Amino acid sequence: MILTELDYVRPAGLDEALALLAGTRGARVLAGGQSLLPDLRSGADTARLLIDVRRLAELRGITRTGTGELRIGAATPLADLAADPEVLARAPELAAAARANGDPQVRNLGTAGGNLLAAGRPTDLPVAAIAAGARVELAGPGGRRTATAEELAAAGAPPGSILTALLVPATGPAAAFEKTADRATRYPVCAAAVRITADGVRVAVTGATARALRLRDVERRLAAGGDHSTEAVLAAFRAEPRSLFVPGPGTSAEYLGHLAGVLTARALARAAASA
Amino acid sequence: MDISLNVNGSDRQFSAEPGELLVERLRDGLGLTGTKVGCDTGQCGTCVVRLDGRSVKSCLVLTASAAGSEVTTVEGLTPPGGELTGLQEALRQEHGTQCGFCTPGMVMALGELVDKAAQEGTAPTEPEIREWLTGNLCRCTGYHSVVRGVQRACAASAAGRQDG
Ligand SMILES: Cc1cc2nc3c(=O)[nH]c(=O)nc-3n(C[C@H](O)[C@H](O)[C@H](O)COP(=O)(O)OP(=O)(O)OC[C@H]3O[C@@H](n4cnc5c(N)ncnc54)[C@H](O)[C@@H]3O)c2cc1C
Ligand code: FES
Ligand code: FES
Repeated sequence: MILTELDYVRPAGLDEALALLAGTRGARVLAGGQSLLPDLRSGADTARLLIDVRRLAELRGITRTGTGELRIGAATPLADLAADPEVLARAPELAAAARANGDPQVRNLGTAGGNLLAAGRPTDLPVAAIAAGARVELAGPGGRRTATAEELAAAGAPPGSILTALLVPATGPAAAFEKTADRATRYPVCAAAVRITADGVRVAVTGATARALRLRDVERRLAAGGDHSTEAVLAAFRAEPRSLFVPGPGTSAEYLGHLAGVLTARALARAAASA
Repeated sequence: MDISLNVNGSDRQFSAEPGELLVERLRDGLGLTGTKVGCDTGQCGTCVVRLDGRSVKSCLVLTASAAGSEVTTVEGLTPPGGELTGLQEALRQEHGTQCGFCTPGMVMALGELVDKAAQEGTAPTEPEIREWLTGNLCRCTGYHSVVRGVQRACAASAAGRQDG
């Protein structure tokens, strides 16, 4: 039982959900609940009204858009994202990040949108979305707009808005995700995602850093050296300021910087092999 | 709130607080105590049930958000005194259960894997079975016998398909 005062509604559509969100103090979107319910029970979150969007048709499903992007509805379960043939073929870093999440039961309920927005702990999907050059679609009181996955990771969703979809460039197989999971919680100690594009490589890291970040300086060093060997990648990470890496329980900044480099090197090798 | 929920094939109507968790309804409201509570925080998997066919942790689902769905608990797999399912029988034969506390959750979680394999006409590999067990903690068996149980269940179900 969640012991704080709480109400629950299941809106019929997105517009009703937005109106409820705008009109109620302490209202929170509920998707799979795999982060929000534990947070409500521990007191980390104190929502008064839960607006359940898990079944909204507008927020579900994976489709190909006219511009060659994959549109992943925010309420699509992580299990579906991990197993979708189009995502596996065209955005493999995203499928792998979804698959790396917790366990099968968490993936059955946990959603793409919830994983991009869950607060408090680093999650797996944001790095993959950043490396993929993905955008998100947000619906809010002022209408609809898009933001980059990088902007979302930095600022979160604006108050009163609902994330409706993730838009991923479906460029092909030259991308990969690597993770070292905490043995007990399965959350990432560090996760890295890369995508090789015509303009070079994109590298994103989470867990080791304060939040999911694209590492442009690492990308530049790799482009300048033209060398993606493990040694070259580790050197590119050693050149980052130590303060970029934030020590956690049982980890030092030095260890995390090294781990981020190792995972990035592995991801680059796998991405290159599948290109 | 007024809620209707199909549990193990029968429609149930009741009133529940919005903050009530599905596992509380199943155990305390409906007396289906086969579903266990080990941790209450989503870590142990003893509370796993099937929700519209998918395995989920019932300590991480609100009763209100399950309303309108079909829930299957371990009690719903076979009638009282009835025959064990293929997976249950295989786990028994491989000694995949000892104290038994984790077993209902194991059976409900692994049931989804075994059903998927049967639908696709494939058998999961050992690493796939072990990965599928990530959400189920067992203090007794050491997991090896559970993995063998799943392999036996999948083999028996594949043999059944060939005969049929
Ligand atoms: C045992 C366990 C292990 C886990 N392991 C991992 C792991 O290894 N890696 C990992 O990344 N995560 C892990 N998680 C977390 C889990 O994957 C996330 O909780 C889940 O993906 C979040 O999705 P959700 O749909 O459940 O979100 P919810 O819990 O419903 O919501 C999370 C947050 O996002 C907001 N939100 C959700 N959807 C929207 C939307 N469409 N628009 C606006 N706001 C929204 C909610 O208001 C809330 O603040 C684990 C969780 C558990 C319980
Ligand atoms: S009681 Fe639900 S996972 Fe432990
Ligand atoms: S048999 Fe005892 S916990 Fe698994």
